[in-house]
Amino acid sequence: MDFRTISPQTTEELLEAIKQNQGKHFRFGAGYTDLIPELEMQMENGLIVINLAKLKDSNFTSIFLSEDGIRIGALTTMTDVLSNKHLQKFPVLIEAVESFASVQIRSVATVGGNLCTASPAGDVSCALVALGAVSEILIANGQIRTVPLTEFFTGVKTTVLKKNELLRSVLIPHQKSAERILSGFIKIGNRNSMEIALASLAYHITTDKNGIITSAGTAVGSVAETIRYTESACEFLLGKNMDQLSEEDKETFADNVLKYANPISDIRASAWYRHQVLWNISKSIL
Amino acid sequence: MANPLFRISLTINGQPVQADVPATLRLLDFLRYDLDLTGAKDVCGEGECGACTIFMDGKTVNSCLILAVEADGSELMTIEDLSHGKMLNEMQQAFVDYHSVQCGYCIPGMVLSGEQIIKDHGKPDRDTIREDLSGNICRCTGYQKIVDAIEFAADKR
Amino acid sequence: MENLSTIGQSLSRPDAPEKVTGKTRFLTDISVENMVHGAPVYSSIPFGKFNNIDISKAEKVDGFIAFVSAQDIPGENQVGVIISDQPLFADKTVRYIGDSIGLAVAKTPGAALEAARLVKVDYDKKSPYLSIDKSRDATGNFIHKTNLACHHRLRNGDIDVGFAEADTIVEAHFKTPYQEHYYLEPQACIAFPIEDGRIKILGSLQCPFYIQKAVARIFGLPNEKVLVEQAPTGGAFGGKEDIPSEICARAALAAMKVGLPVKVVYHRFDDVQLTSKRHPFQMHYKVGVRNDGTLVSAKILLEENAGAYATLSTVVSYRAAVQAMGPYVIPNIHVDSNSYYTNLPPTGAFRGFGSPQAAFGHERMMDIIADKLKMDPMEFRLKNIVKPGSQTQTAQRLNESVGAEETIQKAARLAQWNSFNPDRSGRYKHGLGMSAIHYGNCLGAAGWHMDGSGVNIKILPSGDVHVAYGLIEMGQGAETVVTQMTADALGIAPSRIRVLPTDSAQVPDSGPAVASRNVIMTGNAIRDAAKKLLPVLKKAASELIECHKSDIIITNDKVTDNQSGVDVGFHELCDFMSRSNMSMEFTGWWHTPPLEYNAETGVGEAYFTYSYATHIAKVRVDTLTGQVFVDKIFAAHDVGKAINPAGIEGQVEGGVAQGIGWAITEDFIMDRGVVTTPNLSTYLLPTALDCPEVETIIVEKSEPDGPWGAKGIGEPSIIPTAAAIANAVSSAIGIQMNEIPLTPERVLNQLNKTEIKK
Repeated sequence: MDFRTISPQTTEELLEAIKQNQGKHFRFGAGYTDLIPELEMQMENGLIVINLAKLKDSNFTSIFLSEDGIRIGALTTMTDVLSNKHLQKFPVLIEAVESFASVQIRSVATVGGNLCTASPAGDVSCALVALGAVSEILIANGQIRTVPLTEFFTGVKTTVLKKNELLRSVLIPHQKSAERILSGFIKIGNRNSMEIALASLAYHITTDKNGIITSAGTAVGSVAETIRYTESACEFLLGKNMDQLSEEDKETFADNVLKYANPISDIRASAWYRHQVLWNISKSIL
Repeated sequence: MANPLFRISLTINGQPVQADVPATLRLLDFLRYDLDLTGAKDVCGEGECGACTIFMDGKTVNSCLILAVEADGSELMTIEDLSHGKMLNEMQQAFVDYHSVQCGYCIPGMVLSGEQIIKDHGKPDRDTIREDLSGNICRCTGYQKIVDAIEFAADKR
Repeated sequence: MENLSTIGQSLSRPDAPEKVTGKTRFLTDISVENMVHGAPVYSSIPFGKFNNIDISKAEKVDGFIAFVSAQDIPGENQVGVIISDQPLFADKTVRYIGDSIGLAVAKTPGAALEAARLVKVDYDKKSPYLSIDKSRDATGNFIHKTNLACHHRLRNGDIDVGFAEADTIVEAHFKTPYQEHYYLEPQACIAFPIEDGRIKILGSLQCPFYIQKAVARIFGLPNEKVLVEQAPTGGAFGGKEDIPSEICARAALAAMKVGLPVKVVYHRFDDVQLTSKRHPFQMHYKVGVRNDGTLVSAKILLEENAGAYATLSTVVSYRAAVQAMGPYVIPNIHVDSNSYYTNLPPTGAFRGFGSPQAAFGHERMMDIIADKLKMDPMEFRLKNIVKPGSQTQTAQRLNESVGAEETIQKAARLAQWNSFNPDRSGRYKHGLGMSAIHYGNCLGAAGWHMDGSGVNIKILPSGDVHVAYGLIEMGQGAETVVTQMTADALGIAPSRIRVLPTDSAQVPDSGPAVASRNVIMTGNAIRDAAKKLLPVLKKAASELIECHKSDIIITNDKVTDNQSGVDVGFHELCDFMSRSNMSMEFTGWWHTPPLEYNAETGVGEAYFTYSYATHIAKVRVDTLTGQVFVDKIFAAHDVGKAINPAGIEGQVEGGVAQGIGWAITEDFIMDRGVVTTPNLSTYLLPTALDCPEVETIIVEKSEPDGPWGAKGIGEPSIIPTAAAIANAVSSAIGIQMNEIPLTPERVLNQLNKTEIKK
């Protein structure tokens, strides 16, 4: 393991660091919870780590309410998310954070880190995808571009981010006012805590006062190369009465969720299991 | 080529510390080998077991997942300073009284996690203690007597 | 007079204050002057020969000091503890990925590791044996002279007659997996060269005398030239029984070669790949039973994956064989227990030592038979359970201290076994499962020749008492009970007693700290020492007080003349003895009683006494996901006499946790001999959320040969757990689960096979 670090304190210094190192091999470091074990394994030489831990820019470090939604800075920690009062109305997000790692890791791991690591098993990422969140990306020239999280992940550990860009924040757009919310995060693991999901399902569904489903967001983790937004499953639900779903409706919903699953077999579980358990839990949430 | 060194200044157990460290140095190794604070243990190196738990700016963290350079400007507290010079603090005494210790390798991390649980929850129930203790692995005790000790210490505080 | 004895009291641990403050220096925390570091170089192929070791790249690593290999061994290149099949450094043949080739020595741990990785070895590969079946069926190209590492048999009664008498005959196969110890402190030691040619070892270890003999053998030295001291040890569970012998021997060779202290701490990936684990078993049970539930005949085949070297397989195999049918009366029984070599990491000692595997076999079998007979599993067990006067499966008559029945009854009462009647219509299926076991204490007939232990008690002028013992503290609480037993034996306060770190120079070879031996062996040795010591104390006291020595009573830390009532403090007596130039050091020794045992037939007294236990698991199975949740464990243990009840609870709770890991979460996986679960994110130890509350019930059926009536608890604590869980799950879902771990996938797979689902 051999690398250098740069610790920018302001956005200007950060942008400068990105520009200066375009020709070099660099990575960002925020919570480091994945980075250190990775570096130990790979022993990359000549690496530069742009350390974001000292950055003082509230766009990166805060959670705040704005006209268009709730903005979560990329450097906010999981602990920050858990204690934020605006975010309590999204049980899917809170449950995902609670199921994520340990107290110790949650106090340093960042929302941006979870997204940019682009693990197909990212719990918090999965919840944010289900909520229809949008990534806000800072370009080295100081401009911002936005990409919906449904399009943010391009493969295992890859995202739309270019070398001169980094994730600044994610925006959870304001949701339609709802009479009832069915929202949660189901994570299947080989033990009851500290697990990497074998399969996960994030869902946030709203109804009007008659029980008619007015919005539906569901996403799956650990069953494909990336976290997937299960669009056809969501569309299937829209307009239906939540309280009058037939057994067949529930199975059609689960079948639709499975359209987005293309799991692999590994030491944790087989493709068969991931497939079957995802179908079972998808059906069970309705 | 020798690794370049970075100057860090931080507070550890109430004492100011300055050091020049390579970027690659883990905070855990800095504590254990440079400062001889060996209470925090190196078990998994990947944040799974909590044996390296310390307090950083008032929160428990895994010191195996933090670089020494990242801790620049921080305030750290390790198990060695928990009782602030007293023999044992209440949490430590509870671990002794409730027979929570066996081999002891996980115990410094467990004691500090117990402190964090009281900070976060005041008087938590046993399920909450177990939830928040799940980042600390013990291979000896089955956790029950550790939960007992934390529950008692929380009640007492 | 009030008795202040702490026997039966939960005295708090003397080692706890230093552990909760982080002051305890475990081996990994210790640095000494001029210390250098070693890292293992090992085979990267499972089976084959090697020709050339090229260290030219390793030598270029900054800080490289030396490379140690077979040619540096002055004595015998052999570390096999029972069967001499294991070279310290492989001699041309390698038999598993991890087989030792050398030790790279460098100034820092990192440099040693890097140098070790850069040593290049050329191999001629052979086709490896990676399973019991492949090994057993081999016809040539064996791993050693043969692929059968060892075999134990039991032939008692006539099984054909027995099966003819049976109304029902039930057969089943069972499989149990590896288990990695995952002691939190890895294998670690420091070897020091001493100027006069002696060698000192400081280690994280379980059996100092194994190490002493192993190192002496490698150097061709008398044992006493090797000094072994135990450092505070961060967990062992059997994993530090024999394995440290080889690690310490390599460190010692390096230390002698470079003339400096050499520290070896295994990197976790190396620790998991190189060192021993619990033996995987495959078992075939055929059991005959009468309609009234009486067991009449059993034919049992146990097959064990021994890995590349026999290590302790012979004794694991022995224990499994003599306990194969559990704590039940069965007049006709044949058991064959075969350990096969494979080109995989050696398996060896792990808490329970073959018993948890055998328990899985007999306790699953008991439930399957009960199900066939439509009998309640508890009633079926009680019908056959051993009682005082019963004979075990090896035809050993049990006379005293037989608490098996009581453990079943007490656990069942607490678990409300008879009124359990869950609603099984929903998604979550609830189940209760019972498992009853017996566990032979100490080394038994197979290890009788080394089943003696000693203590050395030294009275200091201040009144403090130092106790040196030959067994060790590895977290299980040995120091605490040694303190209590010594205090009680001498009639003094526990606060006077200091238990010294175990040091081979202080006590005679006391055998291994295994087999739940400590309380019995050290306790009896303490009583033996006290027998010699008390007359000396009394005589001195009579001189000090000027009375008759037969009137002296030492109790509650006071020395009293029973006639006059005059008393002096114990420390005053010690001071007087010192000034009077009296002997103040006493040794004690105890050997287990003789056993009549026929090794050919396996019939006879296998162990001098048995601990008994019953666990009842209460589980919940999620039929949508296959996840198993253990909601509660009721654990009743006959320990003879509880020296320290809290310590017993701690052993039980910890044993249960390891049992839960083995039963559910710990799925140890290898791919062509490479461990693919080498770290804690892939090998899942139970967390605080996976371990339920355990209700421990202590049953005390006093053992006449046990000190204060006590028997062992360390291992019985884990033995019944996995079978109890599998029985509970099987009962909850109505499917016989005969293989563990009960991962969500295995359970869901079984559910899907039986219920037609999508």
